[in-house]
Amino acid sequence: MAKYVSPELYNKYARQILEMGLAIQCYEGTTAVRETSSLSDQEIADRLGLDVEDVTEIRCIAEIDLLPADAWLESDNWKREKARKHFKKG
Amino acid sequence: MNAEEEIKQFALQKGADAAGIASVADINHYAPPGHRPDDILIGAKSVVVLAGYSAFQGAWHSPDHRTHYYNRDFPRIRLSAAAAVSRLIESRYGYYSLAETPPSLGFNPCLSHKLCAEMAGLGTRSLAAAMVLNPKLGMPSFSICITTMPLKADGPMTEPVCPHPSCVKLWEKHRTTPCLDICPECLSGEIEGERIKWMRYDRRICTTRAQTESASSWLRTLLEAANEPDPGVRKNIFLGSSSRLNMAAITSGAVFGQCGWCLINCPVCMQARTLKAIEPTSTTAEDSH
Repeated sequence: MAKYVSPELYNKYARQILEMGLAIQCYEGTTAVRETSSLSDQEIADRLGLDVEDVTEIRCIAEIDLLPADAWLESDNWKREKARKHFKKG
Repeated sequence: MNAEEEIKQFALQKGADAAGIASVADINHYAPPGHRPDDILIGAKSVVVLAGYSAFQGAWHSPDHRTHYYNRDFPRIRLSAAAAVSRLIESRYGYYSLAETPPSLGFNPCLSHKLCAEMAGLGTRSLAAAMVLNPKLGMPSFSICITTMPLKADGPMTEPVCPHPSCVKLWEKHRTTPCLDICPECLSGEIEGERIKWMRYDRRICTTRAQTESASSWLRTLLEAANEPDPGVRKNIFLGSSSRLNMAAITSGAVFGQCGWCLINCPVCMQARTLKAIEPTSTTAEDSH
């Protein structure tokens, strides 16, 4: 069940929780390095001393919130431009 | 034919282009608690992994960058194929099975299909966002059947698919590869010898490209519209093309894999996408009937 998280808790941990999760993935060779990133919500909660429900809620919000609103439009333009250049050069 | 061969053959008959078996023990070596096959099915011993082409090859020959994710091949049938395998195992062998996991929550999958595919020998991780590449299928789409049936696992591939020999040469000359070159915002890494030395994948920008039209994009749009004080601007946000395309993607289910530009010049994927026209003969015409 989703848990309401206060704006204060969210603002305090949003960036940190996002970066400790799957937003940034580091690999040695092809093996994921799971020391400071690529952690599960439970692992993040254990390290930060938070409830896992709070971590999940904060992560879910931050994944969308911490991107600029026009990031998706910019990405669409990026892909359109890539396609145009790719097929132009044949 | 043993059980493993029968199950894999059955998966191919149901539309998969390849099938493999992973042991839950192998998967659990890498997957964190809470995201393991036996967290979903109690007593799970094996995962049957099905793989198929992500899109029709023609979809990559369209100047419209949206064509490929509206032309899904195996993704259209992958769940029903996995469900059929699940049904086969339950009815023929009497072991509990299931074909769908609870939904992912944002970036966190319930169970990593890429990891299952690796452990089933269906591909290896690549420099391109650690996506699993298969030598025949390029970048496949996957579905899984988790089962309590103890099956002989195929195990991971012994030789990596990435880097391709041409990428090794390119790295030696220019310290780059096609995927790193086309998407430096999301990808970084190094090759040493004929192996990936390290790699880093920033999913934050990638997700806006891979899911440009999606629930995430729509929710962000909703937030912007709700916070917009000018009613005219608010209306334009709600009714503009971005909102409408989001709705089209969400309602049709075409909300994932909307980029793939990192792999457009990948030699492994290019080989997988290349078709050679077959001249029809009277024999081939008869065969097709």
